[in-house]
Amino acid sequence: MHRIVYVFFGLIFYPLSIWGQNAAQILAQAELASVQHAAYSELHIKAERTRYTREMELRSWNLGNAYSLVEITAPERDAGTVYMKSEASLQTYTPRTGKIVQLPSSMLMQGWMGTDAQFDQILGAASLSQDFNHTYLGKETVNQQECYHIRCIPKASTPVAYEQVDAFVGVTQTGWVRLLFYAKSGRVTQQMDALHFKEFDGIRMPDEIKISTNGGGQTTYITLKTWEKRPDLRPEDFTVTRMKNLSEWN
Amino acid sequence: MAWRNIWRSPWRSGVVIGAMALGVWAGIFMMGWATGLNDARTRSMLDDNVGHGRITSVEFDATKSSSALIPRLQPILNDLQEDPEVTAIAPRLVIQAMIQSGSGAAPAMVLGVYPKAEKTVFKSARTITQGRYLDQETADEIVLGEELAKRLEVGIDDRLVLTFQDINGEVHSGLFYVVGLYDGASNLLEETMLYVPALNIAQQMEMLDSVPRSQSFPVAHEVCFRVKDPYAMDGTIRQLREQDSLRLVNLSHRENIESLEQLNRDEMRTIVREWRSISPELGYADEIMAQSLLLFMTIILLAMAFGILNTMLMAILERTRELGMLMAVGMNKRRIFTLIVLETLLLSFAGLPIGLLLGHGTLAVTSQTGITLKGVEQGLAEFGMESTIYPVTVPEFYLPIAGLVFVLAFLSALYPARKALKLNPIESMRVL
Amino acid sequence: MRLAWRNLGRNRRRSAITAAAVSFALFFAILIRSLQLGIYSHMIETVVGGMAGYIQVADSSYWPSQNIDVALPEDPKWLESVRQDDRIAAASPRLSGFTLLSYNTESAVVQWTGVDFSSEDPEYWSDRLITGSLRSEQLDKGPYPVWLGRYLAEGLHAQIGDTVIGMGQGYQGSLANDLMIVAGTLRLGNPELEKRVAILRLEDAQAFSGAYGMWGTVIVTPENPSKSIQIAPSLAQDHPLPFATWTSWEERMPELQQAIQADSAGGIVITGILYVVISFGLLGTMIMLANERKREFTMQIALGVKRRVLALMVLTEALLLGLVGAIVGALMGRSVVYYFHRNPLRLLGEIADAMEQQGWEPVLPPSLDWSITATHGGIVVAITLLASLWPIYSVYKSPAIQR
Repeated sequence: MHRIVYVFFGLIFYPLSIWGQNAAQILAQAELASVQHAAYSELHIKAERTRYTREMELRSWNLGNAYSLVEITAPERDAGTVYMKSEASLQTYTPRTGKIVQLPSSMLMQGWMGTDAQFDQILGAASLSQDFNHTYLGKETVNQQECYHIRCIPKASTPVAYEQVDAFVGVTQTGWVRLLFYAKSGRVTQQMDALHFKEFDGIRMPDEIKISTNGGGQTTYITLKTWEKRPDLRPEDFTVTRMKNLSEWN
Repeated sequence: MAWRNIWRSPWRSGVVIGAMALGVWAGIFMMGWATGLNDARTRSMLDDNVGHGRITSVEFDATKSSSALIPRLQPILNDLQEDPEVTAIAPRLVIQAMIQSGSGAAPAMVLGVYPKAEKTVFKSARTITQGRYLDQETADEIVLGEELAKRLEVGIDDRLVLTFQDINGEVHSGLFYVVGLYDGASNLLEETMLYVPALNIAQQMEMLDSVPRSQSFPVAHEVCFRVKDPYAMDGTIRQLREQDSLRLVNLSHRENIESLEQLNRDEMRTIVREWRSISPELGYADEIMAQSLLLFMTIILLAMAFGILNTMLMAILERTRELGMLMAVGMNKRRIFTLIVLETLLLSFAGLPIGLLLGHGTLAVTSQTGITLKGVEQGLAEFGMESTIYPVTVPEFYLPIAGLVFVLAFLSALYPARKALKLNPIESMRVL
Repeated sequence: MRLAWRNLGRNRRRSAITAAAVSFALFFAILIRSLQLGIYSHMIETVVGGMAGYIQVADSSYWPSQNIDVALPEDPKWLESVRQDDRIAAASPRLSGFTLLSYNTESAVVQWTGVDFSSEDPEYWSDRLITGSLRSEQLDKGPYPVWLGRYLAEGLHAQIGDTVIGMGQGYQGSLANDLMIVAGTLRLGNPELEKRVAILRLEDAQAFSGAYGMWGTVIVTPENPSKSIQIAPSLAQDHPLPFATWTSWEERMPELQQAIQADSAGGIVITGILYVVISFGLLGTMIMLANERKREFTMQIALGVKRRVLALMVLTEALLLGLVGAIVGALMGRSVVYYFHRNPLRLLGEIADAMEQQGWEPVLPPSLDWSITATHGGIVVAITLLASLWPIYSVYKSPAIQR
């Protein structure tokens, strides 16, 4: 679950100023900001597959990349399930079982709950600005936004499976508009789009994101319904007890 | 007189000798053929991923946890090297991980190998279909099965990312480049097994921090080894068990770990298994084949016996007139009986060596040239076997077969001999 | 034809011996081939029979990923009509998925399978139960009863009555998180399976995964399992189910089939060797026959019987003898095979006990297939006819003048 949150923050936390056309700097600024926010948000996720469509609602608290707490609020069968990441451990709680279970990392590696949101799996700990070589390809209009088109090729030792990532960063302070992930054959295997932007708590960010895999065979839509800054959040807030008593929290 | 009788009808004698020789040849050849076939199949599977014997820590045997390394590896390796029956040793790491390419991801079993050693024990290095096997101890190289490569849509020189947990529980990702693809013995295995250099992955898993780097094999989850004769491993295992430094627990194919607690209590830390224990199904299949073989050979020899019986009966019938005459002339029944039995035995003594010679000869020749089974090449190849089977000579069976044949010949002479006795001399002479 | 009969009747002993040669030839051929094929069937049964199923009815994209998302809606009427089909011995619906099973600090990734015990062979499961009981008093509330493979139970350090947690993805993305209570442990014939398989009741599995009213697969056992791949297509046509395909084990596990084929090739060589011995025996008999009747032939020719007629007579006699011998041989063969079917030969040695421990039956059962009798009956008669060429040749060689 924290991965969904990452997708989000990875995509929306952009820097507020972009100088010139230095691709690396553009990307660096995009990434720099994403670690600093503490926030509360409510999301709606819709995952479309060939045989079915699944919709979910959840709310989440997070402190940078290291701490996050996510609760599923809909559908009813799964409501009340909580996932918490604190530092290196990932735990989950279901009211139905009443127990807290530590998840082994191997479980994290698969698509979460039927969606395609696997940001960690895509880039892992790698950073687009530092671990890739960049080529600036000019300005293009994507999703009704004017963007810098930057081609990123992973450096020799970067542990990323993609051969190439095309990043479209908004010119006017709106961050990632589109990310294209390529396999060796030149085929786009994953695409992430920011479809719509809105202002929340003084910050402009995408409130509709689309992730599609395999040329549209599998698509996930993430809609941000609420987002507010929460400077009061501390690491001590992310505890196991909290997982069981989320309804009492704000 | 028996001797003369034999020569009097060369055709008939020839036929009986022939039948005998043939039966013996058939029995021997079949034993050699089937043994060769069974051996080839079993060894092929052993060479692929089982090995002849394996040493692991008790914990690893039960849980396959990546932190369950073999304790005190060096003395174990030394003792193995000194054992005269052990012919090759390959320590390995076994790790569960997730593998990712640009096009997809899959769970995988990663084998961290020491390339030079690995090649001496397993044949995976020899089944490379594209590219090459690992050759450097520390490079970012990976070798995977063709099936998996197809699924992940990768080829030589492509990037792959392995995601795994190190011994402290933290998640790491490592980048590897494909240097070779292999064709395993069965699709199921190919799907999930891949090879990386042990030192490389050990480093990434933080296993090497507390180990002196001077050792050539610093860490391992399992030590696989080959012996001279995988079918006679009991002695070897017993000997290894007696090594103090090892404090091994031997598990024959009969037992499995009944209680982890009990073993821990006894302070046994490592376990030696022979291949029948590692892969019991292989052992069972082998045994089933061996025993059904015995069954088939019995049937073939019985068939031979009946064939001889029949021929002899016919022969008696043919000689009714002359036997009747003999009896009329005064030869007593006992001598006639002995005559017939003796004749049969003499014929078998002629047939037996011919059969043995033929059998041994054909086995010796085909064990060099092999017999190619056309039409099932696909099937055998899937199994990692070539379509040419090399029978083995089976000298240990010659004596038992000879004995059996002798007994059968004797028995099969009795019935016709009895029939001969019952002949009425007068009537026999009248028979047309 | 009638003359041939009379000839045979005239020298009954001779005819009997020849026919006996044929009978025994066929007897041994049937015995060896039935045993060989029976052993293969038995091995297949052990591996395929229980969990994988000879024929699997499932969504066309189900195999090999075994993705629960493509489960099919229950159809009891269809199931009933399948069961009524004579060609089918049993049909049982199942539902499978993967989950993380934890107990205290231990956890394991497990494949769970929901089984409808009432529609499966009760002996099958009770044979495999090591500890615990198949009956469960758990009703609609409370944790689901679960039966663990024995090494799974050991790995988790879980015993009967312990509560384990199953956590993971369910049907079409929904969460499958629930408690289960260990009701027993199972022996599944294969240590690998025993480390990662857990059995639930079908309705519990449906509730756990959120696949209410769905079947993942229907395992079908044909009356004649060796014909699985042949009858699967026609069964599919006769019992259509939307989106479903019928796949036989050979298609799902080609390696196993190829292993059997490879073995079978070896087995054919063995049968070939038997035939060499048999043929020689028959030939020997025929040679003796020719010798014996030399005088008879000479006399007949001297009496003016044309050689061709004589040859034809010999051939007809051989044919009759062959048929009679074959029938007797077939009867002998079938009865012995049937006896061994009821009382199979057991493997010798301690390895037999080890196998039994693992859930393998250490026996060498023969196959009851009639086609073996038919095929080899035909071959043996053909060989008899061929062997009769010898006496025919002798007919032609006979001098015209009586000596």
